[in-house]
Amino acid sequence: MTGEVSQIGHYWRLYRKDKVAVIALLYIILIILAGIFAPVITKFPPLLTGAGPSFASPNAQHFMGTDDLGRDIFSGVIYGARVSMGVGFAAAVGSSLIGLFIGTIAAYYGRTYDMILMRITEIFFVIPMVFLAILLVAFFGSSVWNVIFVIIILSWPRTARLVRGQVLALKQRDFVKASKALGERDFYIMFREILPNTLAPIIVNGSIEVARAIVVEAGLSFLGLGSTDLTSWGIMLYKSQRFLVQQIWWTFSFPGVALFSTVLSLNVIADTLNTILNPRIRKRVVRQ
Amino acid sequence: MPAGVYRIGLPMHHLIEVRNIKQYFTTRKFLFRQPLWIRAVDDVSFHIKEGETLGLVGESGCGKTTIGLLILRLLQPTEGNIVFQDRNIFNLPRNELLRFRRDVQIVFQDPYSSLNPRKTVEQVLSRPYRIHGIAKKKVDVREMVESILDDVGLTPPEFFLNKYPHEMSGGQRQRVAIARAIALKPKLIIADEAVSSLDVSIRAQILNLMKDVQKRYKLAYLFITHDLATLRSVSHRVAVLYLGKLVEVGTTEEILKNPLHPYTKSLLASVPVADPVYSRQREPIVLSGDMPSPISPPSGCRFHTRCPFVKEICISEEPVMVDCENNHSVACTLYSEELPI
Amino acid sequence: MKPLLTVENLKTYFETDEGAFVRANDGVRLSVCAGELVAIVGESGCGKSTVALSILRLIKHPGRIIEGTVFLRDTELLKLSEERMRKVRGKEVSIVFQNPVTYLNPVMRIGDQIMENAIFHLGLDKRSAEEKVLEILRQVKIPSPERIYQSYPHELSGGMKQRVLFAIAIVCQPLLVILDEPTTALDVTIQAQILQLIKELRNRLRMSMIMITHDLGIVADIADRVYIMYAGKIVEYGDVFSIFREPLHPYSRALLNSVLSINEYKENLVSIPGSVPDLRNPPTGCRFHPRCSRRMDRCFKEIPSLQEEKDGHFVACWGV
Repeated sequence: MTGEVSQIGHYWRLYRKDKVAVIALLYIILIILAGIFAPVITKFPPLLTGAGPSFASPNAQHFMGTDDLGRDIFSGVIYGARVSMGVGFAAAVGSSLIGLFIGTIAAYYGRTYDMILMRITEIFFVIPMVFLAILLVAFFGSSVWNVIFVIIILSWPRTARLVRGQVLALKQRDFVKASKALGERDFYIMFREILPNTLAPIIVNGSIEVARAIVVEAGLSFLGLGSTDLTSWGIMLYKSQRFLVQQIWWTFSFPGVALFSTVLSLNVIADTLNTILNPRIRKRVVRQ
Repeated sequence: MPAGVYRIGLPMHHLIEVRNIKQYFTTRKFLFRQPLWIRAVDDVSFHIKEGETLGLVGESGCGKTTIGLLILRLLQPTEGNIVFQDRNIFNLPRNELLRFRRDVQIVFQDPYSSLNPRKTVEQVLSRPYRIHGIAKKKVDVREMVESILDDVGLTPPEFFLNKYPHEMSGGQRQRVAIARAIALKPKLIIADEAVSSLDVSIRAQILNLMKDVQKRYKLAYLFITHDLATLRSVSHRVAVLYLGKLVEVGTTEEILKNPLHPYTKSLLASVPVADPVYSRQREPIVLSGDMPSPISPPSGCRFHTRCPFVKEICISEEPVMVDCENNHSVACTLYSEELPI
Repeated sequence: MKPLLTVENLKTYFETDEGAFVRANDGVRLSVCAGELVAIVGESGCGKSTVALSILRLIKHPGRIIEGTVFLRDTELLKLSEERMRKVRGKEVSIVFQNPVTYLNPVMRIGDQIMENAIFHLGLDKRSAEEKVLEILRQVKIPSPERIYQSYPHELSGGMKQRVLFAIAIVCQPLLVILDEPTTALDVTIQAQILQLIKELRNRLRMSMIMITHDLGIVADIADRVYIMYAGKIVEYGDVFSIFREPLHPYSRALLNSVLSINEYKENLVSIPGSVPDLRNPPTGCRFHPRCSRRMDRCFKEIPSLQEEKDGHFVACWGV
């Protein structure tokens, strides 16, 4: 146990060296906290029409102004963080789990299993996202769960391919052969021996997936396929599309900046994680 | 207990018999191209007795590692079978298979890749006991793990329980690998280049340990290596492999003092000896050319392309293994004319 | 006779993440005379490869050459500008590495890779360079040189690739060739071929060589003089016959005793207790003292220096 803890400590020390990455991490934590403590931070429910006068520009009462129906933009951004981040993480976790499972099975058993599962993966790769989203909305109505579902369906192949590659390489290693020789069962070998060795790329991939999911959610919402009874940054952008031409900048700028900075921070985190978790070439002491 | 198909009614005096094993691999092919056959092991037969060490020596591509994997039943042979304690290992029913896994174990060459980098020593060594239900409670398992760590000289055992592979030296890792192999008290251990990656001064330590363990546990070894010097102090008998075929088998003493096959002779002459006087005055036998590919091995005797004594007949006819005196057999046309009466 | 290469008090350290220094080379002394083959022998982690890289100034961050002098004839290599050093590498001093796979460009033809070196250093035009390359390929006993010239690395066997590395190293007829474990990755019978090639090159071309290896058998076979390294320092050196007949340093003795021989059966193989020290924090005094069966008080405190015990045979040990 002590070994694991000191490993995490070691990685944190390496991570700390990159100041930009630390800022990015703090920012994400801030956003998450803001979402969690939303009711404390702002007194206006985000969808309450007439919380203030329509199109009020940012002022002391409404830090980010109000939209056409008098809804407080600041509340929208804070509560929207819940949905955007929530969808982002839920979709990333869901697609990672599925991709992990399928990728491992395909790689470990190989041959026919691999072929069938990889063909299925490819089919999912080519499904056009918007089309699927529209279909789902048509049949099941627009909701946050539909959005999460769509993102999971379309994202798991990426993780599956990544994991498959990792497992293919690892299953040739001697410690896997040694486990088989001991009589270890397949599922134990797959998920307790091999998988822990692929954590690094999965974590990096996971952080990228969160960023992607947030963007996809925003995109779908922007097209009007998002939830109708919740608000997210994408939904706010959807609602303020019409005001782009007019000078009512606060209706789309704030959600836009929130979206942009969050995704950017997540990408920075993913990139830094990649540098420190993958073979740390430049950090290695040269051996004889 | 009904005599199943897998039982063979021969007297059990060999622990394991490898019979006419062939292992051919195919390369991946495009739909309409002919697949290529890699003849990794081509009709190999030998036996190992209880408590005996058989050295299997050869260079890269000779098939020695493949043979190890076959004996472990990690591969299915293209042809032939392997009989362990009177049972054909490729026809074992489920419950007997688990039992077989306890009897045959392996120690790999690279102590770093043969241990899971994400597992502690305790986690690695607990598995054998848990898989086979020998101990269930954490306390009992730990006791057994500590005992086995003692056996392989990693003392005090408590110190090593929490260590990860990267926190230990090559010699220590190899001791853990050996501990894992002997945990279930097997009858046969396959040592696949078990000391080749270790420093010279550590090699001796680990070989001593292996010999020690052999005496205590009454183990047999299949010692796979390319280094004849290692075998000198460790094995009772030696089998020489070239390109998937056995070319010579005999006691260690016989093979080293009186090598018959030209390949064996050149192997011996090529082993560097740490004695400048001896080294500089001995007869070198340097082979010409490279090792042929196992995909299209030479016709007739596979060694003929590099053999200093090659004759006409070697190109067309494959030599048969012939018994010479002193339990020494060789597959070479040089000796097939001198059949003992 | 003045030696071709003289290394004195070479110190190369590597900085770790935590700010500690791995003292890979801590005061190494070495000399090579013209036409000589000198072996540096030691186990993994002793710093022998670092010596080679330091001589050629190929040490990169986080490693640094802290101190020392390296004289090639009259030129101090450590004081040259990078530009001038580049002219030395491959032309006056060249190196053959251990694993040919990683040192050959997989997408370049063999001939072109050797030619690169010839054109850069010798300023030859393409025609003469081509001829030179073919000649060199013949010298390293590569069959059908014209065909190999056109081939790519993956089409060659391990032994052939190693010969190509030799070709690249000697095409400009360097004064000194450094061989860093050139046969470790090869089969025994191929190793025998390469060792024979090395002997031939040495005899015919009169090249001086430094051979870095952990295999005492190879050393016994081809070296003229031997340097034994332990934990970043040279502990003993001298003529090969003298060293093998009577090793003076306890480490040398233990090392030679632990080598497995095909000629004699050893019931109980001798090994050295303990393990190699951590070069970030080496033992005080003599670095071998924790594992030495003959250590005295002095060994804990003072670092022994190399003293000449017999003709040309130097050893660093208080117990001698």
